[in-house]
Amino acid sequence: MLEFLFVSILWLFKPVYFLLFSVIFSFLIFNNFSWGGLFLVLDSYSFILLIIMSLFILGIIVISEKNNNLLILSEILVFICIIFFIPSNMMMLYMFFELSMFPILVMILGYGSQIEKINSSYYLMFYAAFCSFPFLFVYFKSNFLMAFSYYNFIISWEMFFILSLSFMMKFPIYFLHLWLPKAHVEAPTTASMLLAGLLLKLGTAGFLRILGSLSFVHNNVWILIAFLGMILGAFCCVFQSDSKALAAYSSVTHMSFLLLSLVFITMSSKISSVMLMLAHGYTSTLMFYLIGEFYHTSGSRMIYFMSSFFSSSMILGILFSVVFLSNSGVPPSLSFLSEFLVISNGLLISKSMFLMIFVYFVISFYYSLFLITSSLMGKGFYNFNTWNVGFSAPLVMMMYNVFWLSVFY
Amino acid sequence: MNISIFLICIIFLLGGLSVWLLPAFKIGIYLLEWDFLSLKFNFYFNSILFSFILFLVTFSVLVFSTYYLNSELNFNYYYFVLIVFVGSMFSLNFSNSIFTMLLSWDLLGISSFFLVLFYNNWDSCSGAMNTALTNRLGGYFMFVFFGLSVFSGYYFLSFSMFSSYMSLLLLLTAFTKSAQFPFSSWLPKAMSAPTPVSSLVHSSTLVTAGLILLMNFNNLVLQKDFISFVLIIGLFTMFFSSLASLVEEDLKKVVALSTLSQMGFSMVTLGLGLSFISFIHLVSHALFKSCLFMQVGYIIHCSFGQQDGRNYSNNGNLPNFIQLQMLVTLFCLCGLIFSSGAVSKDFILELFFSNNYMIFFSLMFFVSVFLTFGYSFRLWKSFFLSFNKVMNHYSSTVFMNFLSLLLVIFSISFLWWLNFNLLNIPSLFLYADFSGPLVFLFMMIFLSFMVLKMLFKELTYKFLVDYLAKNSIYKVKNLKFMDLFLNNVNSKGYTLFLSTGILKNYYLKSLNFNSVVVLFFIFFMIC
Repeated sequence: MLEFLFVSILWLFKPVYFLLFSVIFSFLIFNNFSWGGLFLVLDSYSFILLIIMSLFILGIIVISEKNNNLLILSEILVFICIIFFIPSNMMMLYMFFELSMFPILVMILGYGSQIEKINSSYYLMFYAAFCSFPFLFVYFKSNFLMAFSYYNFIISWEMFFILSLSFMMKFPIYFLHLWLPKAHVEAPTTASMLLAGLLLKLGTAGFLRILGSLSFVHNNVWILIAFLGMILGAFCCVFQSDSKALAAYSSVTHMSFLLLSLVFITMSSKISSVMLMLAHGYTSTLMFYLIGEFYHTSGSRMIYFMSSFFSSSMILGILFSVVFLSNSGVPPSLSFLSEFLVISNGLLISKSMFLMIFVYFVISFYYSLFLITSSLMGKGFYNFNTWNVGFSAPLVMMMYNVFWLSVFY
Repeated sequence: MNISIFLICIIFLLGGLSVWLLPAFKIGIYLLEWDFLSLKFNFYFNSILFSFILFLVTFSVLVFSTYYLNSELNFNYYYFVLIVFVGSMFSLNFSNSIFTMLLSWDLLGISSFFLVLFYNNWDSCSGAMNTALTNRLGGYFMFVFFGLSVFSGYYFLSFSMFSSYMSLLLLLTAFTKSAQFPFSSWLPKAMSAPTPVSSLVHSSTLVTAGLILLMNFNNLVLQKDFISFVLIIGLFTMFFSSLASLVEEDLKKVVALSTLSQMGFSMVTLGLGLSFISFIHLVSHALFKSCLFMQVGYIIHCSFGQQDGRNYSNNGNLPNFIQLQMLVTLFCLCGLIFSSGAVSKDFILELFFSNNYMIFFSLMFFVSVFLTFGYSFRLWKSFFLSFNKVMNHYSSTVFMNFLSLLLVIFSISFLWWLNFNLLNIPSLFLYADFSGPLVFLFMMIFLSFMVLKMLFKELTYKFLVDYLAKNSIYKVKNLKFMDLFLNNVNSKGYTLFLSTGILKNYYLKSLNFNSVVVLFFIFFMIC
């Protein structure tokens, strides 16, 4: 009897049904403040938006990915992420944070194609272990008055540093970022789409939850770290030869910009950082998707071989340029709006940020533009699969969907 | 003609007609008013006038592009991006809120990037990168400007009191788009775009966008320090671009540099505080410069895409009608009388010299205005004074002959009409003022020329018959007298130069012989 029950649950693992289920599930949790007897608590619109984003990412994976095992792993990962976004207490948040490591490791180790994947998964594991186990120390040292998953009481700045270390690794901020390019380079396309689009958001969303305890103590250090990440990451992007590593460093850059926005701890900066999360989620997913399409066609990810997209497939050329323009924050994309808000917030706080943000702005535009120019132009021909490219259309729509702003204002 | 282009032309004509009827009103259209995401447009007289010109130029350019890019594979791509480009320029022209302004500003940069990228070679790639990156700098300055001044102002185009030194960023924004002095490298680089695009970009869209922006915020710029900054940068741009256009060999780049010099001219006018006059000059410039670019494009098309002036051949045998049109546009560029360039240019010159600025700047201004004639002549000479080899492809179409006729007519008469009806410049006074000194100048030049010519004839005769025959031929036999003669010539000529007092002693001493060569060189250059 029980076996039949289990077998009948198996339909859930069929990707399309799972997607359907999770969409319905997400709509159900929108309506309830607390769903499932305080197991999941939906406390902010920002997390709704993040959940919608993860469903979109799962959608494009379900459409495009052919490997069933990768599909099931990504389902598991998306499900873990969704529950991470709406936990009822800090312990659950930590649990799902760590749990997300499992599917991505299996993806990299099982479906990466080079032998360096072992090294990269070591990087991923050890960074995760060293940075996030101390979280438990702070957790057991702090006495929560209520069970909601926010750190909004006063703790010492050392404690806060240890607390934030786990999320900083996931961000990743500049000095804890080394695992990211390695993981991206070794991971299959689906895994790196999830990694960039969704897994980095675990760090940012988690940081958003502990931000209350930062309480403006040593704010300048955080701002400094963010500046370093923005500028050094952008310069790293300029010198990459692997396009996936470029996209990974671009993630580092934008995430540092997001950190800059978060540590202002004003209302509008939090809003703009959430929008930046959304924009980066959609954009970087598509970046990795299109780079993956090129990889599947040509067997190489080198920038030097990326050329003549326009003469091969006009639709790929257009989508590629649109995605990379959105990555550099060109209107009317969501990242444009959020960057505008971040810049105006930052300059209202201190005029001295002008130069740093200027460097970030120009360099990040430069590498996107360089990639567009070098890959669009040329007189060769690659036999792209046009249908696969066209699957990215819904995410492109979401990338340029500036109407999320109306959720907050 | 492509059917879609035909339809677009019809729409543009209708739009132009409706715009023609509008200037009596002051209309603002506000759509979608959220806090930041609001689409607000104002239809004031300036923007309507400019959009009318933009309609006209775009119409001609679209028709021209069916000729110039006939049977091009990626024509649809070109056409789509061009429409986005023109649309964003219209939107920028009318925009009345931050979102629309930022949106159209960056869309303008991005679509120009894709337009320059059209030819798919190294040159166009680097030009496109340069264009987009420079425009992005302007985008950042604009970001910061709006980010810091929006929260303190109430009405959009008139928060003159509240943003003190942020308007410096506004100036920088306008400088990047209008390719003023530190940011002017992209303008010649963008010449690797197809010629219809250059015709549109360099007459009425991209380079004018910065000036349009500054004119929208003209109250903001009217502050002593900023305005002198605008003036000086405009002057430098004018001067350097005029100088560069004298030595550039790529003729399309010469035209681009002339555009840059005209932009600098408008910027100087803005720096004098005359935003409306500057706007008028912009309008007249848009008309004749797009026309000029079309003629240049025709010549390039006839020479198999050759842009280098040294490789042109047999252009003198191109249809006279084209040559005439080009002459008219060059006259407009120089601001000769009875063309629309004269109306604005004369007014600006008069108002510039009625101020008392530093002599250095006035001299610079004068020289760069004068150099307008220099590069116009240079263009004319290198296009049409060539009959040598027959290496061109004469593709005459009636269509091409009469394409830019509308623009020519407008560039002659439109500003004149505008002047009579709207500007309230006492035009009779203007022309009397213009022609009186001109007559005297002409008489002086003519008389002195005749006198010099007569004297020279006389001297030549005397030299050849009396002096050379008698003195030198006889004295050559005896080398002693030849030596004496040479010494004599040397000392006399030398002291003559020394005694002039215009040129200092050390100048000629330091470069004993070379200076004479330099003088001869200058003489030949003037000829």
